[in-house]
Amino acid sequence: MIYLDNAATSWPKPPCVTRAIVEFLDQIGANPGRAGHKLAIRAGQSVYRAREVVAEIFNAPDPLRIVFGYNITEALNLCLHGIMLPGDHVITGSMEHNSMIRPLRQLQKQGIEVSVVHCDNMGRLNPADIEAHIRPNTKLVAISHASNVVGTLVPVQEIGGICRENGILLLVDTAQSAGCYPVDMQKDMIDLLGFTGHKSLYGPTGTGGLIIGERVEEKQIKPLKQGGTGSHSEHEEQPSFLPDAFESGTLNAMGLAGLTAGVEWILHEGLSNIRSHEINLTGKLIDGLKQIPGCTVYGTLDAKEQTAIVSFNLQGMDSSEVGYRLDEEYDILCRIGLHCSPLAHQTIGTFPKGTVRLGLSYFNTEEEIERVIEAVTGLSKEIDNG
Amino acid sequence: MGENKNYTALLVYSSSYAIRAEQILSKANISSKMIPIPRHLSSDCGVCVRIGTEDKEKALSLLHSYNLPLDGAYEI
Repeated sequence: MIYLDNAATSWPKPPCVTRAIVEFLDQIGANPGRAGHKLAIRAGQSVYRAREVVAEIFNAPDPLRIVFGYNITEALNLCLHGIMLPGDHVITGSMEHNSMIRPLRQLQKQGIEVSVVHCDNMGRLNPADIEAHIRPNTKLVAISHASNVVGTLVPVQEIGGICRENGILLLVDTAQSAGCYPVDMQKDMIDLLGFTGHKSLYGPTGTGGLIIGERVEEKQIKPLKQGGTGSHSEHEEQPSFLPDAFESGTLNAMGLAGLTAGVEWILHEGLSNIRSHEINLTGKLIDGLKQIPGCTVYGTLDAKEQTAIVSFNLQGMDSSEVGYRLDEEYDILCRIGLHCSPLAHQTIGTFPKGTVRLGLSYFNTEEEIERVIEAVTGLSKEIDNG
Repeated sequence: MGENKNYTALLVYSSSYAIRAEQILSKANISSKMIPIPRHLSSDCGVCVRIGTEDKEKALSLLHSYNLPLDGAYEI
């Protein structure tokens, strides 16, 4: 089997991730941050370790400014619904995933102004276009670091500079870049960073969060939920300090143990090695697919300008059929359709038919890429032969 | 820091802050332990950081220098 749906959820995971989850359940298992017994303390320490490694990989200012949650969708919702007030203005881009666009469209109904900066048909965003949309009431620029449809990277640091110059906050969705491309909260001037554990950070599903930079006061963000935090329990009011203000309810501690192992594994392998390997595979895949008659490959077609995602279509065959046949006949698993990103597909000209998306990971090999190219070549020949 | 000796309980916001306090104190070779908060100090259900009373002044100034907020420091 060749698994190429890593842009949705990475698989396989490094073996240390599974071990860490099992070890947590077998040997710790208790509730983190609640009670004072040995196992509760060890559970709390395990979650704290997750904060430390996540802070390290993103160069976050402080492990306690990391708010853990289920995934990046929750993180983006916390940030967008928590920060934007009626009359505020937010700028986003036209390659965004529904996890960004849907909360923004909801906020629009509540009196928040939303500008969508148009990206080109390769998914590239020009930072000057963001600058041109700034208004006196612009509070936030909310942007994905890399497209989940074509992998095109956004020049985050340049956008960060523009935001700082104009006194605007920058929210970056790192769903597709975290763990496979350098993200540095300080250097890139990111104020709010959403991440998810189950993609290229190699953690399990049900892990993710929002990192709140030091330019944002916790009081500026309204919590999505209130509840038990294990702290200041004598008060009926929600605590206002980080991260407890936004972490009501028991965390997915075993998942976070897995996320810790995943991030430690990335740090051990070396992000630059992961990136080089993925550039190599992505380049080979793009080059191979481009040679196939009737095959259109989307995006920049330059592996260095994108993450390890390759979207394509075969003329004369629906993306759904291509995906189904790759699965059934070639044992190649990918994702077809709109990838929860109708706006991005409109931008690259593939709405509503969608594309076939191949999402690679560090675990894929050159041999697998060759087999994929052979498989797509096989399908294209069948189309030709009617 | 014997179990029966007098000690000082440092009350912090949460167990995360207790872990951070322990890390800071440990680097300065101040022995500490996370324990349940004595009920007469707070009705909170969480943990506090137990240190030897002889280390109290040094610990307080150290934690202050790291901007670690305390809800109190009580000699027991």
